Amino acid sequence: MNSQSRVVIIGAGASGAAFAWRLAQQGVKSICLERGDWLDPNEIPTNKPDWEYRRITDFSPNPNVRKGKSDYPILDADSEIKPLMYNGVGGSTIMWSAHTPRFRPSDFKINTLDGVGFDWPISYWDLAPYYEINDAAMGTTGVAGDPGNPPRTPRDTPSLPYGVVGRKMADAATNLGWHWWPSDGNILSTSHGDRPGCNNCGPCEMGCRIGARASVDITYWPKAIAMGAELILNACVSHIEVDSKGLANKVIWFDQNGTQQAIPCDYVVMAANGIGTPRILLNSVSKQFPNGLGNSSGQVGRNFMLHPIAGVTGVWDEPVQSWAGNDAFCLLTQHFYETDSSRNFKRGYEMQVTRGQGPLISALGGFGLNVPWGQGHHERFDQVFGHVATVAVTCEDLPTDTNFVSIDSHVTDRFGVPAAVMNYELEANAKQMKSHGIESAKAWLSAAGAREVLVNPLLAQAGFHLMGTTRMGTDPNISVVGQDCRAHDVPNLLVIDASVFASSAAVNPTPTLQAIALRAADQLVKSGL
Amino acid sequence: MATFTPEVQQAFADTILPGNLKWPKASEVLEFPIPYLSNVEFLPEVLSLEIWKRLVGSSPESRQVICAELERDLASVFQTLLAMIFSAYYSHPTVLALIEAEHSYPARPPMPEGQTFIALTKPPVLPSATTPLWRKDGTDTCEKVFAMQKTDPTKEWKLEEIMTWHTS
Repeated sequence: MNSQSRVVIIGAGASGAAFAWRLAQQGVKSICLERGDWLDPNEIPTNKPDWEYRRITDFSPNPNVRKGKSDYPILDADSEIKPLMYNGVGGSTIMWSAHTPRFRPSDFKINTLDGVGFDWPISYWDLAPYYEINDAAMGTTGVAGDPGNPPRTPRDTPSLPYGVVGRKMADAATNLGWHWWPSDGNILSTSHGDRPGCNNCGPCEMGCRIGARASVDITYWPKAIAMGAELILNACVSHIEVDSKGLANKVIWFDQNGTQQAIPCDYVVMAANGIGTPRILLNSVSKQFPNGLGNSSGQVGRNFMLHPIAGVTGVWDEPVQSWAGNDAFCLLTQHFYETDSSRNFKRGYEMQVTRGQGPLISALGGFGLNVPWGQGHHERFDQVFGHVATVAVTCEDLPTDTNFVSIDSHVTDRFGVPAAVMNYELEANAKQMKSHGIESAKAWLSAAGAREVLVNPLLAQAGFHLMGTTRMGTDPNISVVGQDCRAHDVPNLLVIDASVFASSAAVNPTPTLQAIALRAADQLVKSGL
Repeated sequence: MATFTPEVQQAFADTILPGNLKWPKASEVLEFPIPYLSNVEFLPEVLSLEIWKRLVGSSPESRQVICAELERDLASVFQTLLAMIFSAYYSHPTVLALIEAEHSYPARPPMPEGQTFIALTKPPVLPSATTPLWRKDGTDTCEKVFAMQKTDPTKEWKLEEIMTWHTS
């Protein structure tokens, strides 16, 4: 490509930041349109007395609860799982726990290996170098040498502390004969470079005031901007226009005053997440693309995958200091990750040990703690507060035609742009898998000495992994983009977020989508139209 | 908030947080009206509910029944009030001091000090490196890497080696 080409990225989150940085490293400037703004770390309320209340109201990861000025409506009445995301520089890495397991090699070949879902046109090995580049850019804690995964380089800092809970669960997994390993995370356990080590405060997904937990506003973006990348803030993209040849040539957006703007482009790069990206493409209707940009296959918005997650909580008689340390991960087991013909489902699940919550969320019975209001409230609070840990059972989701993201022109954002609609229900395989996972989690917690085990069969407020809505493939009839992330229909349109996932795996998607973005940047630089 | 008077708020709060020998009931630590509630916008029909009038003056047992009715019939209103009053209670210095005394949870927000883990007498022992446990995908690269990891499970890998793995 010509280094003078105008590359317009839509979305300044995990993938958009990685892409802009990788381009800038190679002398290619880009302009990123971001619908939100920078978040001043001083605005993160974890130093305020009402920090937990903020977490469930105006600082909620659910945009429909938070209702920030950069959020857009997402109709979720027809979805069993609700959306979580952040709109601003950093995207959802502002409100994430930074748990960063990688996909496994089998995750890219699920149809070949197991006869379900859809194979990727690339393999784990194509992404492995980019996982490494991304780990170095984000800063990674953990322990290399896990025989449960392909090799990786030594991590930047040691794994986060296990705590009492980690110790109990690690020993229990060993006794059960289940392989376990401390989780990789984009959190520094000790100071590294110009960032401090974690102080184990707990609520990582509310944002990190000290920058020990990575988010791309403090990792990729400052470096990308220093090398020439440009960010335009409070720029809400409504649609993309095409020229007579069907190439994207203009991105239309609204500034914060509501004035419509247009920016010409040689390439458009979608990085607006698995809901935001199909929303913009479906809103980009033209004579050439009457069903939305890049959508001649009818696949834009289809194959929407989330991770159905069950929360199984153990209650111990003795205190286990539930509130200390990253609340979302500690260690994991992938013992049930792969297909086993003796089970009544294909593929598998991961179980990660999470911790407990602060006083308010505990008192409200978060994660199924079964704390009543009224009579018996305080007695139950005393039993559970500081005495619990939750095993999150993360199930692989398979793509189906009936789970999809669409738009609804009857409901619009403040600029009149149609809202996104989530249409999602658990498919049969995931239900069977989840039931199996719940029994495994119960067995694990019991082996770790939990006196009581509580089951939340589906965490509804857990729709943070938004995948599959413009999937990658070789056949343009059943996929939207090719292996280089370019749309089959529109060669100067790229999608680099988790929308391109052909399968969901059973792990958090961020390192994989960032590796894809880095690789796509390299491929774009190497090639041309 | 014509009918959600301070007296009603107190009756509601003491019903959902009745206290016990150890814990104070809501009205022993909170002041009414609760500041949080002044910001909430309830629909007029919610404010004029008869149920609020019934709360004041009822016995604790009756109030529990009345609140259960509210939870059943107006779940979102009930949950909003519950979260607000619980938040006021569980972030109150008196209650936080009690939580610290009872549960060793520091009576302060998590930042900026962070939390200190109880020191473990013995950390868990990592599973020893063994033959790879991950599933092969049928590619040549996979076979090659799998074999190398099996031969030397404790090898420290370098980025330069991993950079050669990709096929496209």
